[in-house]
Amino acid sequence: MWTMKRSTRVQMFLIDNLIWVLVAAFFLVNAIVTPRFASYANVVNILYHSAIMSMLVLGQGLVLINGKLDLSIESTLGFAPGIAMLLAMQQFPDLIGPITAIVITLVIGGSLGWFNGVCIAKLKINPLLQTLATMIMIRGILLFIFPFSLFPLDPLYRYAGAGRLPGNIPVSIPLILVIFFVLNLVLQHTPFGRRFVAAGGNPKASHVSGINVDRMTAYAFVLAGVLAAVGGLLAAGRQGSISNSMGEGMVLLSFAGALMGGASLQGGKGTPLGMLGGALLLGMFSNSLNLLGVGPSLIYASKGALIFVALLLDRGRVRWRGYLLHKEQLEALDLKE
Amino acid sequence: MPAGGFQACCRPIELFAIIRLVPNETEAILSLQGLSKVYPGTVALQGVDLQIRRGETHGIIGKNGAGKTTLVGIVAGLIRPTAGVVRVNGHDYARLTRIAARKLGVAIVPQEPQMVQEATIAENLFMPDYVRRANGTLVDWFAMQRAAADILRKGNLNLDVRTKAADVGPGVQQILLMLRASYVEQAEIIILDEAFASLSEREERLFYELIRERKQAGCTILHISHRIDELLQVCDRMTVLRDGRSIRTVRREEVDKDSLAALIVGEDQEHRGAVPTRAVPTRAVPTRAEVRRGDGEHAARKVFPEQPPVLVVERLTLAERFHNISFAVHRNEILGIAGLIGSGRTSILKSIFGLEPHDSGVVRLNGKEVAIDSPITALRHGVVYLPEERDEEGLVTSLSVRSNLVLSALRRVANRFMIDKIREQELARSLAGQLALTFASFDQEVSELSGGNRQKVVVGKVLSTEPQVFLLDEPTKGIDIAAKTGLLHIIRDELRANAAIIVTSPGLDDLMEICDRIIVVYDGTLLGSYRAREFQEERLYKAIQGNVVQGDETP
Repeated sequence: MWTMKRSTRVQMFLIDNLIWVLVAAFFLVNAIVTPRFASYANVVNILYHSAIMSMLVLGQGLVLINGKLDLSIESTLGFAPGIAMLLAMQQFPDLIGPITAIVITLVIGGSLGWFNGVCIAKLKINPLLQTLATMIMIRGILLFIFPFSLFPLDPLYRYAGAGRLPGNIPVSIPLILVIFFVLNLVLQHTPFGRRFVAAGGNPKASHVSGINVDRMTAYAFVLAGVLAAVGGLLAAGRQGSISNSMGEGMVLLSFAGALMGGASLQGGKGTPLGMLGGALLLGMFSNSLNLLGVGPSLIYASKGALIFVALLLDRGRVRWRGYLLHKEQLEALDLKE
Repeated sequence: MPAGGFQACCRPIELFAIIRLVPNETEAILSLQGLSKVYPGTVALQGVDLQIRRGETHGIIGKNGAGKTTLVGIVAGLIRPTAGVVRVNGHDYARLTRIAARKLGVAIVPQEPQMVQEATIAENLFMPDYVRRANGTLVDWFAMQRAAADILRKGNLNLDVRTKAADVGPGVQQILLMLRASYVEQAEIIILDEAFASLSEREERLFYELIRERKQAGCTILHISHRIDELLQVCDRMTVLRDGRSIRTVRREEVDKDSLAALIVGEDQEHRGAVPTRAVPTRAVPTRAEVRRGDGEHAARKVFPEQPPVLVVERLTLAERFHNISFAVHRNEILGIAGLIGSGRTSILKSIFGLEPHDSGVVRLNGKEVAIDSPITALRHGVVYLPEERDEEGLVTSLSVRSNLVLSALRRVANRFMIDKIREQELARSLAGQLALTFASFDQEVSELSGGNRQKVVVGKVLSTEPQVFLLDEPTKGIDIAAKTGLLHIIRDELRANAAIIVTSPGLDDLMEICDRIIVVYDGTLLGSYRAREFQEERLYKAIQGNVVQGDETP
């Protein structure tokens, strides 16, 4: 057992938290380059606009930690609030109040996730194909029964997405921060969280270790569904209406955020706080391009490039880590010549 | 190799000991100079020099993690060295690719057979230079199959060349790879990297035949092993590696078992374990062997008086695997299950643990019938299983050493909701100390550890659960001599104190050293049960081959 040099330990720490290094660097560069970027109002704005995407990033991240992937969350984002408000406003306006509607929204999200999870865990359907089917299916249903926009929504239902706290802080910011911190705590510091991560890293070994791997998979998809529904709640609240195209195209960016946040397609890697960093970077990225006057199509293309950069960074991180350990040892051995 | 195991394969080896070629003393076909290899997390080799003479069989031996596999990996062009030169036939290479090494006539038979499972034997033999038709573009299937059949005949294998590789066992695949190296690639240098690890007795004999034939043909063979007996039977010279350095190269005549073992372990360390039944005991704690011999036995029995059985298995059957297996294990007892690969020994353990649920039969714990259908229920009942395939079934390699160690015992280190970091660290530290784990930090990913240390992490994980029944499937597989002895001691002295233990091993040595009773399975049926005082290597050895003279008792 050798002890690492202090400088190496610091570098290793930075590599393991690479996303926050990037967030900080990106922020500093933009504070100088982009006008009005670092203002209080803009920072709040970035957080506010990252909130919806961050829920999808977190949901996708949890599924990636479990070693699977979920395409359907973007449809869930529209479907869950859409059906809930349809029931609340048109079918049973007397029975369903706004609070019940919120609960129904989350339950619908969770049920869709549970459906995916059970099919994948028990029937062993490939997650890509299963969630692709769900994605198309529920988007189609939404378009069928929802050929219009639904508004106005109850202010209580809108509160999470549109409400403001003192200091003009949107309610959605503390809300998502609490969600991220609680899930981070659960994943890092509870037996359940450890089992969850282990089951993603090596299902076979986890099975032998007495972990119910199938159940962990179901949990991952249920969480992703619920988080997507929360995202839908925020989106509906912000717009003040529900449209049938809500969430379209967001799932690919959720991969970008999760991968930048430290997840890997092999599973077993990543933390919720890393995902938060990934989501923030995505948000800052489009915000700064916006402020610089770049058009929306080009922003979309740039986000694609960002995904690619995220993948390169992930490979680089692994190599850099290996290189550092390697160099340490060479020095420890005095074998460098 | 089991001590009993080499008795039977001695015969062909003795034969070729007589016709052993006298190697040309001067000519080095392969020479390694200052070879080093550093991996993240481990130093595999440090400035190794080595001369291999043309036509000799050169053994490379050392503990697990000594650098054997890395060394030959570099020669075979599979691993890129950090520093040093490989000289083949007088030409220097700073690094070789596999393709370049193959052109130079270097072939390797790796530890785990690597074949394209869905391709036929014929295809695998001639891959990648398939036999072509005269025009040189299309594969000539008939010619290739005829040629493959000829080659199989040379290896005394009675197989259809159109069989898929997946349909023959790993042992046969290993022989096929040796045949490919010998007759298709016609390699001058053949590297055997622990090639015997997964062979049955019959396959081992076939393999020795091939080695003998290749020696006669003038091939140079590099034989890697950590079985001392095996090397002493086959090799002309041997090089001992320790901690990535080459310690000494010795001629066969210069050494015997004990002196070679001393070299491997290191002069300052006392050698124990490789030859447990015959070694002169120098330790304070009596071994099983000593206990068997004398009054130690009474002492052992007195400490652990007869207990009611913890685990009783009655008429356990799993179709195609094992039939009507019945036995009982008591608290403080170590029961060994001996048998060849494929005899059902692993399946029996997996079945009790719920990984391969049995078709019929009864399992009782403390007198009560239990239905264990998954590892979760098994662990709840206090039954824990140490898997044979550690990387696949034992470890989550993306997680830290600490997380892996405590993975099965999270309840022990958690309060109501949260994991107590201090208790977690304490548990990890005590397990690491018990197993003499070496690593940079508890936060290191398991994937960055050496193979031997990874295996220790799995053992630690199982130890952490404090169960009432341990099912240990080859706990000493691939562990170096010192660690092996340490582990056998832990099993015998500590695990046994609070639990019943069932242990399997491919060799009889380990079982005879620690077990109170050994049951023998052959082809899925229980053939006999032997008490410690009646352990006789030859008799047990015959039993695992299916020849029971007479069991000591009804199981």
